[in-house]
Amino acid sequence: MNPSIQQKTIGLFFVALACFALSPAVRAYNLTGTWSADDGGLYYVRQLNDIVWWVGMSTESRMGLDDFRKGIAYTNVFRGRLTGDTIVGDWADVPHGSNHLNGTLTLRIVTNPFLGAIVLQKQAEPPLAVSAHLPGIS
Amino acid sequence: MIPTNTSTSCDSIVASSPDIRCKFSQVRKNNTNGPTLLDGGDLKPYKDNVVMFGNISEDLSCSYPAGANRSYRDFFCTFTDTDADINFNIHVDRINLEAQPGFWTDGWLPVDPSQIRAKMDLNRNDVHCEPIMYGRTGDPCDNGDSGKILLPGWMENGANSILWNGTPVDGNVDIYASGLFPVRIVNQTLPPGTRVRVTGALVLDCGHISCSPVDVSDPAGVEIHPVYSIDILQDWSRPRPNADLTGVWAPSDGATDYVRQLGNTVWWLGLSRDQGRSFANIFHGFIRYDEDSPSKRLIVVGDWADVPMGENGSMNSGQLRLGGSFCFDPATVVGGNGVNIKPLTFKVDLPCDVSGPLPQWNILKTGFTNNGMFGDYRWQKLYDQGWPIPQTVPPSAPSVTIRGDGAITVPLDPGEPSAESAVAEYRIVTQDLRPPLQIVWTASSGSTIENPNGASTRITFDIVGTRSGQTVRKGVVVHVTDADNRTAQSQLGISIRVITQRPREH
Repeated sequence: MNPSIQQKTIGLFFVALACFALSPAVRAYNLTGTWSADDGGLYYVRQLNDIVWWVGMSTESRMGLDDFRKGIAYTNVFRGRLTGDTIVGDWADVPHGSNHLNGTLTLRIVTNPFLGAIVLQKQAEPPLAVSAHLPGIS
Repeated sequence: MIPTNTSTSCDSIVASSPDIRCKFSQVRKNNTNGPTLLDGGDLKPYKDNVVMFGNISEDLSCSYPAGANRSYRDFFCTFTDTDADINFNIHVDRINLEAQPGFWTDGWLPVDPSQIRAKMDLNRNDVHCEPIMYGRTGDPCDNGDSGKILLPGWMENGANSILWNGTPVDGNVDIYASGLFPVRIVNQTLPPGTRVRVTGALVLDCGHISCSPVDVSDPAGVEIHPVYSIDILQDWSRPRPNADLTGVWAPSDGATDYVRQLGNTVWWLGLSRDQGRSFANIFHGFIRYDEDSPSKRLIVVGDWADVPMGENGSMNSGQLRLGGSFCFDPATVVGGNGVNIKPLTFKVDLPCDVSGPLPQWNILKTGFTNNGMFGDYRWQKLYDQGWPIPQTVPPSAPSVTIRGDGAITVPLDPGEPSAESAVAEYRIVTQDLRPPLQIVWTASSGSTIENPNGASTRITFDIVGTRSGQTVRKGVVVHVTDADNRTAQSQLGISIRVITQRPREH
């Protein structure tokens, strides 16, 4: 794992490890970086203007430090569009992990009032839009 | 990414670290007092995360006792007369290796890669591979400490296990005391000829050769040790119901792409050979007709972006258009009424004609890219998603191969005028020969064959009068007849060099 990663918080959300500025403009967010999810999975996020990409990988140890390789249980990829403080996109498991799921996902960028970090909070999915839940997001 | 070796202490190293030399300095062997892999110079790491394609030249074997308990404590404290490594050999696809960008120039530890190249040349690209049982740091005999896991082993689980077609082995290894298949991994063997891709650490095993200095005239010693993963390439001549682009692909740079097709949508995750530290890219695209081409061939069009898995990993992005070369061309499929059918999906589920050249098999190629990173890229599919995967095995052909030293060095003491004899051990490896076998060894005139009808034998070569600096050539031949009266023969040329040892300094 990238040793420069600094985990900031945990919970029912993704945890941002990226810079954040309080502005409603799309480009005020810099979501690029490594994020952790509430199931211990690691998400490597890249923001290119209003497009957000990630690969999410399961871990078997804290932050995957004691894992020779990550993503054995699940590895998913995501591509979405950032509008305001909401990201909407599609995701799919890839055959690096054992899961074979896919779906659509809506996330909202919020600030954790206790930790000061930004989090990506999963929103209710449209009915029948998701074939299964995305591991790592409650 | 060049592995770093700048840390003053390796005590804090963890499994996710890229520092292979540090790991070798911490992982312990199970013989006397549990030395590390580096102690005594037995294993000299040259390059981590190598990717080699090839054909199996020697099937799986393992010296760990059949039926024995396999805990780390059993391994480390009880069965110390075996290293418990699984062994097999591959005949490396040198064309593929040479085509990997920067294979001989990038990512090497402070060593001389030409030593590896010279030995591979001498050994006709035969490389020994050893998946290890455990790669840990602890000594459980004294204090029960199993230590940290730093390297993947065949008895480790999940994230720290060796991968067998992408799935952790998790100890699923059968070892038999005797028989045709002494070792099975996930109930499979690796018959000679099986096409595989092996990843791991490239080393010189100095337990078998002189490493100070490295004797490049001796072909032995090049190993992938430990092995991280074994991928068995799929037999494309078999039917593949429901197959699509989904599966594991190998791009031309030694990386691995994990592709998922959902309808006409195609995703992939591409990971560099160092678990994605150098680059990790995501592709998202669609299958559609190429309206610019007269044949309206199907193509994949989409965009991609690197994601930051490694500290200094690549951060590129771009658009990409891919063309396919599959077992049959979807643009030329003829329907029952003689009219061309052009389905809006890649039809890859029919068997291939494997007698044809490799490029007609499942291949994706760059058609357009606005980022030079993917210029002239090719992706070769390794296997579909699913289990079990049919193996690529060549047609039956009885054969025998002689294993043993092809280059022998005979040392003379200072003042000793000439040598008299040279001794070496040889054994046979057979393919498609059914026991019982009748074996007959012969060797150059004057040689003494200790066990002329055995599967292995010690041979003493007569080199009377050979002086220091001289080299003589000898030969060994073995002839094998099996239970069905099928025969095979093999010969091995042997180079015997006589040298004078330097006097010991006191």
